[in-house]
Amino acid sequence: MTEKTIELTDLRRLWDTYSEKRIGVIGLVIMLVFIVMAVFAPYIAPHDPYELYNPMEPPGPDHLLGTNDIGQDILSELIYGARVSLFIAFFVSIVSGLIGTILGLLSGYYEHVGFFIMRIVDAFLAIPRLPLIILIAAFMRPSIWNLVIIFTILGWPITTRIIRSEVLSLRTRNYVEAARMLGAPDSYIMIKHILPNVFPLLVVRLVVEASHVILAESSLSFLGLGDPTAKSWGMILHYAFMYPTIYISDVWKWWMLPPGLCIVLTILSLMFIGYALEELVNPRLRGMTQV
Amino acid sequence: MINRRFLAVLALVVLVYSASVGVMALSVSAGTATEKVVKFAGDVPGGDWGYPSPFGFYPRGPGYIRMSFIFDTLTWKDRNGTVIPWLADSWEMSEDGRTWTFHLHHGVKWHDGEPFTAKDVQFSFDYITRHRTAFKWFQSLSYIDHVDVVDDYTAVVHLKEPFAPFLVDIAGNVPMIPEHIWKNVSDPGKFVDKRAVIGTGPFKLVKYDKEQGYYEWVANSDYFKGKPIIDRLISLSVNDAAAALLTGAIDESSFWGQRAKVASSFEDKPGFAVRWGPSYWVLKVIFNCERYPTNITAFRKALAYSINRTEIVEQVVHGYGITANTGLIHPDITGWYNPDLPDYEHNVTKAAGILDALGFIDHDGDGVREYSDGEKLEFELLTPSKFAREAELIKSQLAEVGIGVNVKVLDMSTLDDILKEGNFFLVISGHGGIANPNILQQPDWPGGTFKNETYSALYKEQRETMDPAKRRALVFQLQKIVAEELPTYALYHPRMCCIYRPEKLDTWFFTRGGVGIGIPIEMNKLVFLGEAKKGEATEGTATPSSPAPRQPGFEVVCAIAGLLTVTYLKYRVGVRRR
Repeated sequence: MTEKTIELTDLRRLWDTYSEKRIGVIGLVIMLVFIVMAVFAPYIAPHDPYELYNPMEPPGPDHLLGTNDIGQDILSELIYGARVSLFIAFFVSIVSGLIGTILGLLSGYYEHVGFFIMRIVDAFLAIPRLPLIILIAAFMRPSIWNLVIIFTILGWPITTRIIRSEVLSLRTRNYVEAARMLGAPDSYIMIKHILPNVFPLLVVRLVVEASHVILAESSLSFLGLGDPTAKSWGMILHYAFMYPTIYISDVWKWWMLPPGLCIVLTILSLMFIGYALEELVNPRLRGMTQV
Repeated sequence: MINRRFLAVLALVVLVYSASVGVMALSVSAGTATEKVVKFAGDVPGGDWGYPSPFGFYPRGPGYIRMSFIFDTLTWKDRNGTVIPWLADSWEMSEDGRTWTFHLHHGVKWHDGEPFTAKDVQFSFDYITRHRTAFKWFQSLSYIDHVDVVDDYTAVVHLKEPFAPFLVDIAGNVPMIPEHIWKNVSDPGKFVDKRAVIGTGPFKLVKYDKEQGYYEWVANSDYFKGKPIIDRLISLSVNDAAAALLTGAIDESSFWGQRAKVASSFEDKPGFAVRWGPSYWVLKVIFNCERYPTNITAFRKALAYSINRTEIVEQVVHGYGITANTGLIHPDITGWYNPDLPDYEHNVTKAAGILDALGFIDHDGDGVREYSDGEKLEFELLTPSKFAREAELIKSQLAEVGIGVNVKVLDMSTLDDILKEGNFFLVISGHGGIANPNILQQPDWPGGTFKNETYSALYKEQRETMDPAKRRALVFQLQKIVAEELPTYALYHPRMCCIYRPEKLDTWFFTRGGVGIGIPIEMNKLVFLGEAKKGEATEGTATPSSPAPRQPGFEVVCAIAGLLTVTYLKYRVGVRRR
């Protein structure tokens, strides 16, 4: 019982510090809106995004953002699009974060393993990301799962390196040394003493990775390398740009602008959350902004 | 005071604007005085159509067209599709239809100054026949037995069998190449020298950039049909042809299908004109007739019944097209079009019935049927990115009858290769040439999995039948087989228009029946020779007259007026201050 109340007050304190930074709160609110949009898409969306109506209808009571070139409701497409973007973003950042943490812990704790893993990381980091993604996407059948695999493969090395550097410093701390001297097994030290201390760093890393993934997915879809029948924001933009009169009529206002804004807003909100968390994690940074 | 200042600013704006426009107009008119340049862009981005030599061009319509500016044929087609004399002034056919005598035009010169003679005709047919595999374009050269040279200006072509479409499919299609250059070339496919583009044609190639899809030709001032009415012709690749037209980056482009919609925003725009043409073009789904289960005719029929072509025409093409003739030939071509063919009207129950009878049943109730071994009935539908929307609709239409589809987008040349290799189940692809029965040779072109001996025999018989009525009956039969065997299911014929700046060139027209063997593009070389003006408006709607070209004088007047106003206002302000 007592333990739980302590945790609650801890959380409260955490929230208080976080909410000091208004930017973080704004980011969180925007993100929540998108998450609600994605989760409850079938209930929020006024139409099935695959249902066909009159093509190229301007915004009206039936279709708040009009219809696209084959008569699908753009607003519904947009709402369902949040699913694709957020799903890929969170899935990839969590999986690649998990892989990165495990490898980071191991490579930071055991020097020989570390040397080996770091060379692999070097090799991965030397590869320019987007061109490689484009190359792979061009050869593989474009589907959401393929994108997830590609992004995960390319995402873990950075996390590994960041976690490792932190572990390297944590490993020499007194309490870790003390635990080791008392005969604690390596796995126990890693999980009980080191992991909780790299956790804040990891959270920031996850957020940053998520925003990268959203951008990469949109770019790929925009270039026409995604699944052409998937409803993602990048795909909406792709078809909007392909439409013949997009530059010489008003259509872009309700067809091109909204998905663009959605992408910008999600990434912005993730950035905001990232900034706020970074300050939370790094008290020195917090002190500096207050001075 | 405020009012006056506002006026002064306004005057200044007018001054600057008119001065700049004046200067621009002056420079433009100075440019046109020395050289008349016309730039056009294909509707397809990434417009590389290969090196425009007879062996280098990409074997699709736009590739041939780019080559046809440089190389001539013995006959050609005018805007009505009538065969007209070109390198040959006249010709005679023998009684049995096996011998054609051509009397060549005198004084024709190759771009390098050498004279064009009957020996070149003999050499061209001989050389291209020998290198038939390198010459990837449609031809029926196997019919040629040999060519005799009677004198410098008389060539006699001997055929193995009578060949009904000879004047169009061979004489009006096979380019004449100079003997003095090609006689030393053993591997024509690799000959991409500057000398490979020496022809007799109205234009000479000056620049070709493969990566940019850029072609530049200059007029051949010694052309035997008269100098072209423009000096320079440029073909560009642009991302958005409509925007490029507006900004003046190009002077002409064609638009078809859904994209023909842009015509409505150009119709009333001053300085632009729109010309509608018939489009001998078809978009189709090609089935692999060699792979299970698309090799089952009934299965292909079930797919045809599941595809709703009307919906595709309405939703994707927005009515800028018609549902296609399942026998491929365009309905406008009354001479060849067979109107009594099955059209497989959308019918889900019928499709489901066929699939059930074939044993493709959804056992596990997930909405997708299974093969007898339990594997899901799922296919990849390959499409160029341009037709991804058609693919999306077909995917959802096939889902209704329980067939799973994954859409994969590929670029056109990769897709053409896959079709030739036969490594596919379903492909969306399209082509022109459907005004000419020779497209029926391989109805699933660019694929080649449809093999049917009766059909091939009929096709051969048809082109050796000189009697028009009999030949027509045979072509009807061929279409009937295509529509019933369904190696390919024709979806729609798009509408087509070209939008252009009449002040640059106003002679654009669509050739009835298509250029050469049936290329539905408005790029007949006659356009650049000003021939269209002579026989105006036989088809295509009349173009709205363009406004008189802007006179630089107007801008000069504006500039002076603006200057005077400003000086006057300055003076007035000064007076008041004093």
